[in-house]
Amino acid sequence: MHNTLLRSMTAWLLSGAVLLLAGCAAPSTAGSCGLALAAGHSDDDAIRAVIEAEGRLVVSQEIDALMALWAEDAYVANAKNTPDDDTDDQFWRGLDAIRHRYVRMVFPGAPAAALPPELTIDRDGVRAVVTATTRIGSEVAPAGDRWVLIKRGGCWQIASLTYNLEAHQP
Amino acid sequence: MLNRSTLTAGAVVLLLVMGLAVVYWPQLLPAMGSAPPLAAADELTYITDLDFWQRTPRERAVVAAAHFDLQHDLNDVPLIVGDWTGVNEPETNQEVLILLEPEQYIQRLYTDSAGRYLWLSMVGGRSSQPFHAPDICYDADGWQYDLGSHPTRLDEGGEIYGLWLHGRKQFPDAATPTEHVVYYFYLFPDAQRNQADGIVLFKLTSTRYGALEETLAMHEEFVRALFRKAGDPAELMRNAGL
Repeated sequence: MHNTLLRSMTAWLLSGAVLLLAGCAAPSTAGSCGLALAAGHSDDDAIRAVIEAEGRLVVSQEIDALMALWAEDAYVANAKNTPDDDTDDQFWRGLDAIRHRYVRMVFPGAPAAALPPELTIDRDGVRAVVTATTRIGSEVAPAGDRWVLIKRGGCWQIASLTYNLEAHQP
Repeated sequence: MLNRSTLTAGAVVLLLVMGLAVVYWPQLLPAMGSAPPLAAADELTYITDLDFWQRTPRERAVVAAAHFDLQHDLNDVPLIVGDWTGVNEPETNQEVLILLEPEQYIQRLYTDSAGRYLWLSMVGGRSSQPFHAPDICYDADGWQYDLGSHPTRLDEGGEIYGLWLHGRKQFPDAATPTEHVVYYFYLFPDAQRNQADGIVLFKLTSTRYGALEETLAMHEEFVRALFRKAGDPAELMRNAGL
């Protein structure tokens, strides 16, 4: 009688513990893991999806979804069209500064929908360098953006963006 | 003597307790004293954030050591702050006041016993007009700058966040670039954050003393003398029965 009761109680507690811990281990929504990617997608698919989501979410000005694409220690740099001189680069360091840049500098310009950027992906394990050529209307920024993405916990996240990399023509 | 079933049950109970601790840890922290209790009834309790336009994850409720709202005269903020002694330096550029139309505008120069200086600017208004993000102004004036955020840990618990800006500009008549380190955040009288209730920009500006981190530590020390403790704004709402 005593053993039966104990076994029953154990079973109930075990079920409860399993359910509870299953809840704790919720799937990550960071970076590419928060995007509805098709099953069996490749790393390049995930990287491309993150960059395209960034462009789409800038247009729709969804700041929280945008920030979920970025790694905690990420940065944005403005190369100021002097790609060979990093002494004049301007940095937004960390998520707070990146959020601030979106909300106070990017969104007020009411960015319009752009064609999906032409991406060149150079992947080395869990790190990828992506060069993007962006076209907005007749305006073209050839290889003007360089993204670095890293894979953490199975999710590709943006580690940095350096923009204005196209050199000024003399 | 414990049999196998009892041990299994004990292990499962332990597992459950651990699971509950993980899930409810954030709620348990305030009760364990790591964050101080906050009460909206305290008229020195404010909401701070990195931006006034949208809430950010860095929004905090904070208890101040002085009044930082438009129901009070910002001139009453102490002139003696820790080791710092301040003097009012009214804005002489009328264009600034015409452009910003602030309800209150305080500018002070504090110096400490080591001879370091620190400007405190407090801008109060009830619309977005007086609040130009400092980086926009520095950008427009041709400064090169980097931007980031920095937490200020408060003496009685919790922390508040500010944005820092490290600006550099080469003036024609200067041998070396002029450098500014700015640290700022916004204060609201309550969690509703209605602009009509008034917003105060709290901004510190100095030159760079040592490394950027050392300068930010100096700004942090000044902020710590004016703000006592901070916590989750949701807790403030709960305590107010909202």
